[in-house]
Amino acid sequence: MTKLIRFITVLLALVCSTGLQAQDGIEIKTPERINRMLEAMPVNNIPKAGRFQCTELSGTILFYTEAEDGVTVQLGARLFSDAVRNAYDPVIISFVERLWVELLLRKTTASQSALLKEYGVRMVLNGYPLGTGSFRQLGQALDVINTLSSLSITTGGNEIDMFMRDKASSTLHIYIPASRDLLFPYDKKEHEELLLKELAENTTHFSPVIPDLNDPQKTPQGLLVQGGECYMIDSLKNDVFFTQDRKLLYDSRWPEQTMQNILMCAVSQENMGSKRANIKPHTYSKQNSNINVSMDLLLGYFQKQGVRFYTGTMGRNGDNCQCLLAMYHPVYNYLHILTVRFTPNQLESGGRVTFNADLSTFIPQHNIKNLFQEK
Amino acid sequence: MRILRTIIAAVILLCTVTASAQLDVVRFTVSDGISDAALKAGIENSASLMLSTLNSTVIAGKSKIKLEKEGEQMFTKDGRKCLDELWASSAMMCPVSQVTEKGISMQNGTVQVRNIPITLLAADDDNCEQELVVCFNEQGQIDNIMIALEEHRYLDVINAQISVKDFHRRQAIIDFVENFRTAYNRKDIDYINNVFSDNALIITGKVVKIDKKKQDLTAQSLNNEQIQYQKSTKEEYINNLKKCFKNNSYINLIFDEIEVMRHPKRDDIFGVTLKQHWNSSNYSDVGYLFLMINFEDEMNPSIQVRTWQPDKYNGKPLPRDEVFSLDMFSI
Repeated sequence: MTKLIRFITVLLALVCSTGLQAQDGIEIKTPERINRMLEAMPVNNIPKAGRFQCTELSGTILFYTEAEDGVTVQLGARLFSDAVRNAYDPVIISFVERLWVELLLRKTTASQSALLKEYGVRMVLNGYPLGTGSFRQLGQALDVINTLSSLSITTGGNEIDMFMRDKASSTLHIYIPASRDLLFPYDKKEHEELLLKELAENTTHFSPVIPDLNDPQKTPQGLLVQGGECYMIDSLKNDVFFTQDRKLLYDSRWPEQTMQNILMCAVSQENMGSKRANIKPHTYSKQNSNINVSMDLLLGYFQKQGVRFYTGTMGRNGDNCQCLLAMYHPVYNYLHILTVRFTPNQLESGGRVTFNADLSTFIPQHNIKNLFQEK
Repeated sequence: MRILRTIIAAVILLCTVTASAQLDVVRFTVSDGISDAALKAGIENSASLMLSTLNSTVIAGKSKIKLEKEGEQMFTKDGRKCLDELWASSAMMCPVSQVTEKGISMQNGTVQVRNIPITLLAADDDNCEQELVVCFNEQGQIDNIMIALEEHRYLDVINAQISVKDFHRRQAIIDFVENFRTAYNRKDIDYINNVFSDNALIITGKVVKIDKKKQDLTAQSLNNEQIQYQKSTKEEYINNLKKCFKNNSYINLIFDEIEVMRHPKRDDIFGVTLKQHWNSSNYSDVGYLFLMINFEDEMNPSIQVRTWQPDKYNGKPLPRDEVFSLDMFSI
């Protein structure tokens, strides 16, 4: 009996120390980036999640870790109040607080400036970047953050501008490249694995998004189209199709357009409900097995991520049709691509049908100069 | 680099002003376009004072622009606010002591002056040299100041002729390139070994100094650096990389300015040119990386050619036509 208890204890300890075994056999671990920071911290007994002090780095700042499913995923300096954290993008706030720790781990202003240069981040106090003019030490920027009178975060381009002003009218800009790889603690492999795990566990259903039919365009076949916003190419749009009598299109005689409506979430719960997707993930590790998920939960998950949806058709071979859904995140500048293969009769069926699909995730978009270069 | 930029800007100022003049003084002259002598003088005074004040503030390392009462009167309320907001985004100085530009009279009686050179201390190296556009009211007061900062955004052009299939394929290449970059950062030698074709052509450029004593006089007066190229096998490259991974506890590659080109005759061969920023525990550099990728097996693309070239030599950027691209290799 003692041996059995010991065996169970060892087994439990092993499970706890190696992290969570997610569905699909994906093991979620602390991101390498966070691990490196934890190893460099000059303090012992850092909690998996919680606040702690590290006087070797700063006597005034409180540090913290955060965990998901028992695994530490964030290490930061607590710079901002709860009110700020609730009001602004938590990814950007977490990035700045994580960056602060990395800067404090560097001993000199010169090496802190070198890290900012490596990351492409510009920290500008009263017009001067760190280490020049009147901005001699990182602590001066902290003075602005500690006595904030206003804060704004501008996103949507290739650079995020976090602008702060203190009560004495000093100004602090933190310009951050809008890159997923920088803003999140995960590298691409880690982020893909997290996404697959979250997708497998997702319980958020899709919300129908049906645009008002204002000034619609007409297709050569007589369908009405509302949308028109392109992503990168003319044939990838946020179009939603309607019949001539202005009803939302769901008709197997128009299979591609009907599928585009499904992918745009412009479909009734009833028509979405019976559809599933058997998805082959195209990931760094190449070893992730297929996911079978309802279209409802699949699209609900991506809606929750805050991506913008664009669809296009990839041609037809007999009855075999193919459509593409591009999901672009305008703040973190990444793209997911889902391609779906189906036949018209799958759209007719009232019963459960499964489409075959391929999914590529976290394709960076911020660093593309020319995707369609011609000589 | 930014400290260096401040020093260089200050030295340029020092060299360009006369011995008797003050370091920070900039003289602005309207060459043409304004017939009203009083307005012309007002604009010249306001612009000269503003540019000189920017320089003196930077040289003193002050955090805010302070003007005497006379100086404040040369700005409208909006113009002064504009100056403070611009300064908050970056300290700036005028790198020349004399600026001569024509005034452009606007329909509402105001005047605009463009092309005023300015160095932004907080901008990155590619964007620090900019030009100001200054707007003056009918009294010659500065009412608005704008900066023509180039937006670092590439994807403005909507491509009308591109099919969704082609878009998909090219995004798959970006995905592959990102995985390739991730493999270096993870020091995943197996991944890198797998994506290189066994017969891959690997070329690495290196800047070398030319021995000037061995050159004739004409050559001596020219450049003293050149790029030498070294060819290696996949095995040699992977072995060197293993050593590099062992010697660096930390590697952070950043890819930028990615360009994707399809082979004119082979639909499954693509060339990718990009700027690589190599950051590691012991070493960092910037250079151009070119990859020729075979997508015949879509699930397992392979790299057939990899070249690396330094982004600069002889103190100048590598000319664009010298950067390796797909059309330089015959298949």
